[in-house]
Amino acid sequence: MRKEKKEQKDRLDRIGAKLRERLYRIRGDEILPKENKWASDFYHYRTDQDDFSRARKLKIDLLEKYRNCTIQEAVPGKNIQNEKGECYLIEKQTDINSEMVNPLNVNEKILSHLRLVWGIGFSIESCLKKRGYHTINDLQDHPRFKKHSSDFLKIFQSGRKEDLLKWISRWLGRSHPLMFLTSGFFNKENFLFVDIETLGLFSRPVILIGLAFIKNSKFNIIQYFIRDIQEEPSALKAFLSHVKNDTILVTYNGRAFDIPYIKERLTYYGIRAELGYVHYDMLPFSRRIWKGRFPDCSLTTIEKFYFKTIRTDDVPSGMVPDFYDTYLRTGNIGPLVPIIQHNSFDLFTLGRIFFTLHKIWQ
Amino acid sequence: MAIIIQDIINQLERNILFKDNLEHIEIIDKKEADFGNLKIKLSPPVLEYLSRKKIKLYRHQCQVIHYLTEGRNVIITTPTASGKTLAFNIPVFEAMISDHETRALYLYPTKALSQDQLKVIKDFERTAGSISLTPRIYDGDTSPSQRPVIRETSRIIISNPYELHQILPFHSKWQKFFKNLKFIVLDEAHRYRGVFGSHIAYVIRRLLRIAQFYGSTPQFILSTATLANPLEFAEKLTGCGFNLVNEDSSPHGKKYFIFYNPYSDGTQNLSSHQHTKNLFLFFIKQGLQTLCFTVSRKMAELVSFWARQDLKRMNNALSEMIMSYRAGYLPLERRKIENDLKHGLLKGVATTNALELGIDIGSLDCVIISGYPGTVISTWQQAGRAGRGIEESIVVMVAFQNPLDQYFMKHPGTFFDKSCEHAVIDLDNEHIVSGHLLCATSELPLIFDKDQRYLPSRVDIMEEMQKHSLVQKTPHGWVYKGVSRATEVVSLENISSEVFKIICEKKLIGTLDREQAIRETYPGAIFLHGGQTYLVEELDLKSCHVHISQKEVDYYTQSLEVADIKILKELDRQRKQKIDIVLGEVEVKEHHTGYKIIKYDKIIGTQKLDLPALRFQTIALYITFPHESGEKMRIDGIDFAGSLHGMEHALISVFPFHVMCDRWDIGGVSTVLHPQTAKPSVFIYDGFEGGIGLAEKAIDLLQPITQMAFDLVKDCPCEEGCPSCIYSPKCGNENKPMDKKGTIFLLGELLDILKK
Repeated sequence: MRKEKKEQKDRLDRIGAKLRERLYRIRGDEILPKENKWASDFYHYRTDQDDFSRARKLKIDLLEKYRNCTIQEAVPGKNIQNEKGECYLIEKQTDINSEMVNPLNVNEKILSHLRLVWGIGFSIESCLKKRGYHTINDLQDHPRFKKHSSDFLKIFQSGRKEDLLKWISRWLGRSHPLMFLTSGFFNKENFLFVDIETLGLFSRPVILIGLAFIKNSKFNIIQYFIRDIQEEPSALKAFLSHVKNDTILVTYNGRAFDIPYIKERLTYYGIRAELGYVHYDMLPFSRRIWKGRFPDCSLTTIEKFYFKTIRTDDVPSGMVPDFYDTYLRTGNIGPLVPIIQHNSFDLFTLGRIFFTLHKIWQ
Repeated sequence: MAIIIQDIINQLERNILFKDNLEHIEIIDKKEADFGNLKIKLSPPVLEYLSRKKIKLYRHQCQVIHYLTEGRNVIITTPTASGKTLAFNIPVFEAMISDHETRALYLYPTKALSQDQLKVIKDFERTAGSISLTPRIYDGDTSPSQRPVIRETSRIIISNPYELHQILPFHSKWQKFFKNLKFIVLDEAHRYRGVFGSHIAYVIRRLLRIAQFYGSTPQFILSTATLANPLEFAEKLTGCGFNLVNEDSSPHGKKYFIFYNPYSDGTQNLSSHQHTKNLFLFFIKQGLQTLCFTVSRKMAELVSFWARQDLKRMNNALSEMIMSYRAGYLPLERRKIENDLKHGLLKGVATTNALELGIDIGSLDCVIISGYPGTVISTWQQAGRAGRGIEESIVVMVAFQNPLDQYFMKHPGTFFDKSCEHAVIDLDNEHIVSGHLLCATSELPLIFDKDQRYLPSRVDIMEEMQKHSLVQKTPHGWVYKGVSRATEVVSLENISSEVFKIICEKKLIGTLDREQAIRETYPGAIFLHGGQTYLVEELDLKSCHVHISQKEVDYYTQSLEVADIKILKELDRQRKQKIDIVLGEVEVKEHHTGYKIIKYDKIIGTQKLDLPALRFQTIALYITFPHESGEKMRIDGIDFAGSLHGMEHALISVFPFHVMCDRWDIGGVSTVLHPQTAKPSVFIYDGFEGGIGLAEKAIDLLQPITQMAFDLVKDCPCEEGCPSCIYSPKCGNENKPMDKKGTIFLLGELLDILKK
């Protein structure tokens, strides 16, 4: 009987091993999410051989460096608890120049953009301007554009910013500076910068949820880290506690990745929540400014070429699952230290890009 | 028209070319429609549709509508063209009219069938007016930009099981659809059997688990061809209880079903293909529009070519009205043939099974089926192409030399009798179970207390997978953490996760399990895929690749195998007098020693192969005899080993008629002394890793299987065994030793015991 049990176990073990082997083989050519149109040059998911051996060496060094180190010692933070369990909280604070565009200027810019009215293109706009129609308000007297301009003004004056954003994005595109400048209408404290680290591109756990906000003119970074897969629901719940009715999300490629990913994980655990607020994804804006000037528009590249800061010990995102797996197996937090740092750098750079664009585009 | 058909049959019976080969003519009488009464009131749009189309509902259609409105699951097994689709569409539409949120999922096994159904629903929408169902197809061809729109707005989504398997992990994007999912339609569901069906059974359970998560409990509608076990099949496929509707009340015309046997006297002068061509020509010249189904694409082309040549020699203008049809033609060419057939511009078309259901060519006067297509189901589906409405029609089945073809020729009653074909679904194959448990954890955390309604509580599997970092046990249930998408490693057509890729000119054209790869794609093999023939150039066992190239050949290959079998565990034993019938877990070692090259049924050469033995664990049924039987037979001058060998072959050849499978899906071993049973033994095993329920089902059906094998061998006119009875084309021992008399004796003995 015991022998039979052993044979049964061996057989299941072989099945498991084969499944694992195939998952690894497939991972090599994992396809990017189809709806992510920036993905091709944004995520370098296939980690090349050089990066791979560098990362491997880094991992060994880190294991050595943080041997016998507790998580508290390596990454100071604290345990938090909510109805979904526990997770680990890391808090930081930095200075940032958080000056924003004056909302009155934004109003003016919007109203002088005649192309926001149905039926007006470049040539009609310049004709109208020559004939003294400088703002959309002026068009109220125009026989042809009277109705269409009031359609826009109704939305503009309603104060429903979501509708205004939708309107602008429909006529001018998602990456138009006006689109971004509408962020000037909101209260500085309401912006929530979000960036997550995950074990893959889809349907695998989120291991770190990083968020940041302005409070007392400081850039506050909060990271919820899961020390074990079972802490994921707790981290998701903790993240939700920051999302209020008037929260404005700011992300980098979050429209395609971070936000749908969080939504999917929330559904996975049966946690009901709405995340459908105003959302500024900074990737299209960055591309509008820097595409062609820098090798690509990833956060690290912009950081390096625009803000002139260079990261050391960076872990390619494709290696994150492997590093996390090593941590789970050994209990040594070392390999994750740069990942947690990486995430807070990303948030900081995201914040800097956000406020920099306010300066550039005002 | 009626007179003409009878005349043609008379002529056929007098014609010197054909008359000796007419083994049997079954006359299927004309049947009047039997209309039913609906107990419920239909809504105005549905009534509008019915009246515009001048449709009166048959009794079986009313029955379907009643069951479905009562909220029950239904399986319909009436023949093609009996109005099944309308029967289940009406209650779905009714539900959609009364609740504007209602959603339905229609799954079809082929694209042609999906397209067909889309047309039907759109036509309903148009004709009925004032109803919006926005039916759409959602499959691999759907553009990414259309996908979100379909998910949000379509109320009827038509898809296929492969797509569904990939969709499930993305359920959070499908919330609205799953929340309102009221109906799941599985049309042509008999195709979901064997390995494929066992996978689908789990895909459906995963779907139900997700639907439940969003608070819906959809109703099932299954439509299948006639099966011996419809209710058992439906219940295994979905895990739910069903009501059966199987009485056909639609009208049909008189049909003459002719069994034509080129081997009627045991020998033959012309090949079956030449006979097929002669019949094809005969019917065309009689003015009947004729469709001829052949086993291969090459034959489809040859039959139409020969027929054209003959007509040209006679300066007959009909030669221009004959075509062949197969996969691989350009879509435009195919559409033209389909249309020309429909409009009577073509008089004869020879085709592979590419002209399957779902492709609209109208109905014809006559269908020739050249060679038994492998299942009674597909024979009837092909036969169903003949007969317009209630007009008379002819179907001819031309037999090959195979055992089953010949058995039907000698015992036509068996063919026309109640169905004996059991569709098998195996929910216990651990490879399949593991794969889908993994997929399920990636969709929602797996909590066995809650999920055991849908998925087996195999904690042992989960624990092993946890060891391999695929999943993790947490207080929230088992959670997925593999390195890439779980659905990618589970292929619905294969069992093991060791899948071979078939590559032709750098393009992936299909996948095979390791076992299939060694059996079917050895170097030099001719591989049939989508009606096209390919030559296998290389089988790379290390990288799991098969390299093939397109090649037009007029021969095929058949590998020769010898197998060893080791018993691992006995699962069930029945002792009948001195014969034991056992079901057990076994380890099979299959050697593929070489292959035969066969042209028009004749072996023209043999090649040796040097391949490693195939080893796998599977389920086998085995029969052991007492040593005395051997001694007794030896005294009578009978070769005992040859008798066991013959019995093994005969049982295997009739097996697929009872337990639906391909003949190559099962294997056998016979020996006068097996080291473990210590007795003369005959083994029949499932040719798949882990077994797929074939041998297990066969144990329950052993008596009818044995009876049929016994009749097959006994009634074969040959003296010492032939390819129509106990010779197997894949026997690695050249069908030696073989003893026909002893085979009959052993089968008879087994039968006597089983009957007691």
